[in-house]
Amino acid sequence: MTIITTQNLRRTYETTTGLIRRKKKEITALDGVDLSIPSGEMFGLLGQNGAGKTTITRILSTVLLPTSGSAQIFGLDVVKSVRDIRPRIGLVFGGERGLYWRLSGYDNLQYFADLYRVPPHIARRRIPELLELVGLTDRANERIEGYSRGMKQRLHIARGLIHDPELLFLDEPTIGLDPLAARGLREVIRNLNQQGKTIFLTSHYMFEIDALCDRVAIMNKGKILITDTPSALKKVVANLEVVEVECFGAPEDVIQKIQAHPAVKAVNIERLEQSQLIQIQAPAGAELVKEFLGILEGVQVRKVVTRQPTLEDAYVKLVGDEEKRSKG
Amino acid sequence: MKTYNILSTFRIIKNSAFLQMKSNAVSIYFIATAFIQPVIFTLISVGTYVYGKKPDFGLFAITGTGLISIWNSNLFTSGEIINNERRTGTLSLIMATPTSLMLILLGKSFANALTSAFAMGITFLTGMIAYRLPIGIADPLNFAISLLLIIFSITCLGLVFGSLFILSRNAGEFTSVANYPVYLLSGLSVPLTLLPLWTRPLSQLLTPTWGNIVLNEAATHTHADLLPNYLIIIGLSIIYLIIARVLYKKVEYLALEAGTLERW
Repeated sequence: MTIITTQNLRRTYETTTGLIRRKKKEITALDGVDLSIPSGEMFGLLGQNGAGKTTITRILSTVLLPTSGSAQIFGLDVVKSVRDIRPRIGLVFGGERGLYWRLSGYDNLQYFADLYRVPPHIARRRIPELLELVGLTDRANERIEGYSRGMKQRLHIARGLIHDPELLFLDEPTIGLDPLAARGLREVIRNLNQQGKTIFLTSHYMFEIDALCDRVAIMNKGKILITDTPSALKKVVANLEVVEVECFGAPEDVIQKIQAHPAVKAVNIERLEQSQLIQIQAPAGAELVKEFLGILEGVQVRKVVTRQPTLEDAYVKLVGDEEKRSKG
Repeated sequence: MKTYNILSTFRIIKNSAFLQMKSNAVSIYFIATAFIQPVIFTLISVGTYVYGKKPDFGLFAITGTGLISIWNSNLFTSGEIINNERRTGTLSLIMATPTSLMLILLGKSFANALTSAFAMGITFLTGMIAYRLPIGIADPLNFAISLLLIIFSITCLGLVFGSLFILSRNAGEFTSVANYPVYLLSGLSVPLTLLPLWTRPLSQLLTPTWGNIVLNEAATHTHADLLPNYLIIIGLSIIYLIIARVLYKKVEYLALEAGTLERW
């Protein structure tokens, strides 16, 4: 059974610039998104900041209206059937906001249980269960303001589950968490999916999506570029390998020379604390490292590594191809 | 099922009110509007009558000032509730629940108004201490009923204005402007008889006008027949609630359309 469908979903925002001569500008956050997600699936939406992930999550969770197109949850329209959809979906945003900091963890859950009209006898049983699930039983009666970021994130998950929703929207749930806390939270999410909940997860952490999701959609500039399983997406870069060069202060023209190399399929630059990491995708087996180092002559190189591509590399290639296409 | 829904609605109002009271207890802004402002207002307004050789108006000034404080703290803190929810990121989450936002705000605003009822006591105390006015309440029971009714009614009126905050975080500028006409038209700062005749119908649509009348009557007369005035206050409250319901439905839709729920 299909639980989420969207057809040509679009969302634009109007912004103004200038103080005296104000100019209106339309920004397209979603540009014709089509999705179809079956019940019980863990679906991942991958994209960089500003790709449109949060916008689509807000529309599907009924807290934002689309500009055009349509979306249905459980076959119900997200604009017209808000009252029927809301009790059946849970919404969890990443970050520390979205909780009442002056209340305890227990009181926060109790308040949202009331707002979701969970009968008191069920809430009394469910709240301790959820606190146990997210590992907050011992701190349940303390005020949220004393919680660590990871604890707040886990409480968010418990809050999103307070009314036992069939479908859970998780918008960047592990953002800003330390590796251990993020791993714990991923475990909770995996268990929820195994219990039969459909999960719509957005993230810009590729390994997270790779590890958790049955299917992934890659978003860029408001558009879905491709939807497939993580392993199928990785096949896009199956015949490639990745040369990673860590160096200090490679100038723009040198990077452009690497990008222009005929064997190079995609280049991604990551800024590390003091250095740069240039990730170059090129056909497997090609003896290109020497050539790259030749282009980088004069640049201080710290480390060169060759490795197998990951979902992140597939993402970089797909987004890079799209950028090239749009530039013509 | 219906009984359960009614009970659950009351639980939402009650728990929203408790949540707000807990927040108020540590909010400097609320403490200032509910407890410090009434002292300043009383010193100014009662002083105007006392030094203007019209001490008979002392009680009028005190109940007027008390109502101003209740209205003030209700109006500003009701807007502040929504802005606070927006700031802390809970506004879109409570909007995503099946409970109407108006119901949640009704509980929270009522908590504000109830707490600000202390303002009435503070104005009486300030008048008695600062100006040595011999102030007694002739009919304490009717005075208490009047006060409770007017608090509820002002909460309903505050909801109408508060709906604007859902649309924009800058709605405070509008409510600041709208605040003073309410003082004037309700006869809280000057007696209604001093205002032009054409303002009367407007005054009668504002619940603080009737609140001022019933509080003064209960303070000065024993066994005054206040039932007709009570019915007017209840009637106005129902009208405010109906207007608020229509407004909230419209404003919630506009906020979802404009995507302003989290814009801070």
